[in-house]
Amino acid sequence: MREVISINVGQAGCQIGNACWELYSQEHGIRPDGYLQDGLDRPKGGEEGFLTFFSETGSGKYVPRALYVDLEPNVIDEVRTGVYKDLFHPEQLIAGKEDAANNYARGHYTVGREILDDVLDRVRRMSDQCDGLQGFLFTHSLGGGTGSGLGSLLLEQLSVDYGKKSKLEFAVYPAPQVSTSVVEPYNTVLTTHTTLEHADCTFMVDNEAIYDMCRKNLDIPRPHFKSLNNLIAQVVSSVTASLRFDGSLNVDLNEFQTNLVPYPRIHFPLVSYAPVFSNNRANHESNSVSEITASCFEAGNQMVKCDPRQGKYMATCLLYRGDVVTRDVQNAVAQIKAKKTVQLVDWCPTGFKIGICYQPPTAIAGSDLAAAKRAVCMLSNTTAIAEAWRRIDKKFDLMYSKRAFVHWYVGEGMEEGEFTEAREDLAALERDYIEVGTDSYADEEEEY
Amino acid sequence: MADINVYVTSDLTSSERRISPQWTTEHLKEKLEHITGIPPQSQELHHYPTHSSNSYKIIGQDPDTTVSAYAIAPYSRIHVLDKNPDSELGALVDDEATGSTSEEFKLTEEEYSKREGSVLQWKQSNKLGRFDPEYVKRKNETLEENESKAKNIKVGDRCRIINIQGERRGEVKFVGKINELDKGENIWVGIEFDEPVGKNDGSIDGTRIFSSRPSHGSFLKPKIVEVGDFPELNPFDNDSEDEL
Repeated sequence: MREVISINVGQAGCQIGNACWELYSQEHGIRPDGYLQDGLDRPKGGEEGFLTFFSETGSGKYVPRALYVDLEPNVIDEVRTGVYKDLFHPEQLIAGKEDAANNYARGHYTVGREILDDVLDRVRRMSDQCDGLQGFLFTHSLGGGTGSGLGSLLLEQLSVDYGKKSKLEFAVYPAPQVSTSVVEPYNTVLTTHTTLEHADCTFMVDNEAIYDMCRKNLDIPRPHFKSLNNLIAQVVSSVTASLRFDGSLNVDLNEFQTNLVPYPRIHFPLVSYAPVFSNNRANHESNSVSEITASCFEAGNQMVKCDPRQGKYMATCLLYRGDVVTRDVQNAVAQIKAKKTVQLVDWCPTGFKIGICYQPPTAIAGSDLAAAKRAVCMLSNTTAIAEAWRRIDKKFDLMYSKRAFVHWYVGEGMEEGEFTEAREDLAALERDYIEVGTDSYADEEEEY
Repeated sequence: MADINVYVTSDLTSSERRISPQWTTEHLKEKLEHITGIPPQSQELHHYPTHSSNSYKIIGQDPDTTVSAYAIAPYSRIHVLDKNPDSELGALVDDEATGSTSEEFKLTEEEYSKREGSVLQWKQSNKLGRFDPEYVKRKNETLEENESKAKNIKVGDRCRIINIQGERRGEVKFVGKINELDKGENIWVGIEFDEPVGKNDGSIDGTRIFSSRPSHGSFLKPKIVEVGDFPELNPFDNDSEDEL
């Protein structure tokens, strides 16, 4: 068995976690109380893959291999009292009493520290139940206090306790236009610096990109978190589908890293997903393999706003699910290559990696996203994503040059030097991306 | 009572938040400070019944009143106003408005090259990219090729470029090295296209290299510039041929 433990940290992390586990349960035919749906004698899609994400209690009940951690009690209280309350063991839900007040330092040093041993203890108990733990899947936000502070603290600690086990993250990255809190740029830069050497692969999702997708493709004029999170869950699900379902070219957690990350620091693949359409439009969309593949190269299908035409690709994984045959995929990839829209880094090996999982996507009950016969999730390591770092670094500088709100952090025992150190690391990351993008022979076609 | 999801907006921030009806106004304002950066004593709270409505009610004057008294509906909006004209936040808002980049953090070439574990070091130690002798050889070959091709390109020549974007025609306006562009490493051909299909007006970062109409100018490597008898394309020519 190759188990994966999911760890959801902070409000955004826990709410995305909720959407994911709701979707996983439906995909595998598990009722909200953890038992199989009527008429099933085993989970849908085969037991082997399924048991990487769920454990069996022996009485026919299945429990997610998941941990919820938040410093304030309200979001987790909702899990405790919600529709899926019986799915989880109370030990899997850890809540503190006092929140992190949008402050990385509180999540990382003061309030977060107090809860740390408790969390590590529960992780230990869960990992003891595994035969062959593959690694961890984190969901958290980079801009909030708990997600950034406690999230990075946990990643650090898991590196110490579990050494080389893979650690993948789904991270909510601040939207380019409006900040959700005034210190969001600080939290993001600080947490990125701390986790840079501990996370193996980070898939970023920016709420504005998701928001626009909900508005344009799902016809929701003012999407709430619930709609955003349902869409994010669909994406997370298509990334993890190959791990959860038997028969698909079974992927290991560390294969994402092997295929996508040529150098440890450059571990932020851009995620695209298609198709995204509402029930109203379902009958008007054909969504052939080549159409959905081409959509992945369009900005409107990306989880982070940036312009891939300005970047070079190091690696690309196309993860298909549903009614898809290899020949169609090969044709679709050939079409993309012929268009020359994809510029590759040519001094290191690059490639298209294809994964097919024959389980079609499932629509979450009450979700605006219609069920498609087939879908694709593209993970591409492109230098274009460096734009996201440039944006946040600039916002950081604007505030830090005035030392605005730095006292909130110093007041929690953090040293100012950590700000400079983190900012320097991010500047180096920007340079790393530039370095990846240079030295390609294709530069001969450059035009200024 | 369950939490209420509301939008919280202020100068510089906008977010969906959860608030508890049991909170006192004082506690609400503490929470809002952490989001908006406005201290409680400077906050003026405007409650808008929906996100897009224009009328609001001022709430939160009494610190002991509980939030439930304000009858805040789900997905309505609380806008937090900063009444202190000299606040920490005010200075930031001004900066944002003027787009000032007062003190941008800079990592020098030298500092970067000294950092452990950088992509640069990786390329160096594994002889990748420009640290690969094979790459350097090929690079020099193309450099020479470009230089010899440049000898046959003169200012005033008609020319055409064919690449992903299709065919573009124009006139050569400049041939030579450009410090502002790549520290004078390569030879570039400056072209004024017949149509606005270029990248600039003949200047690079404010330095004028040649002059052209806006968006008609571009700099390209000699290798992909073809000179000869290439008169201006008549966009209607093709159509008529197609019809025949």
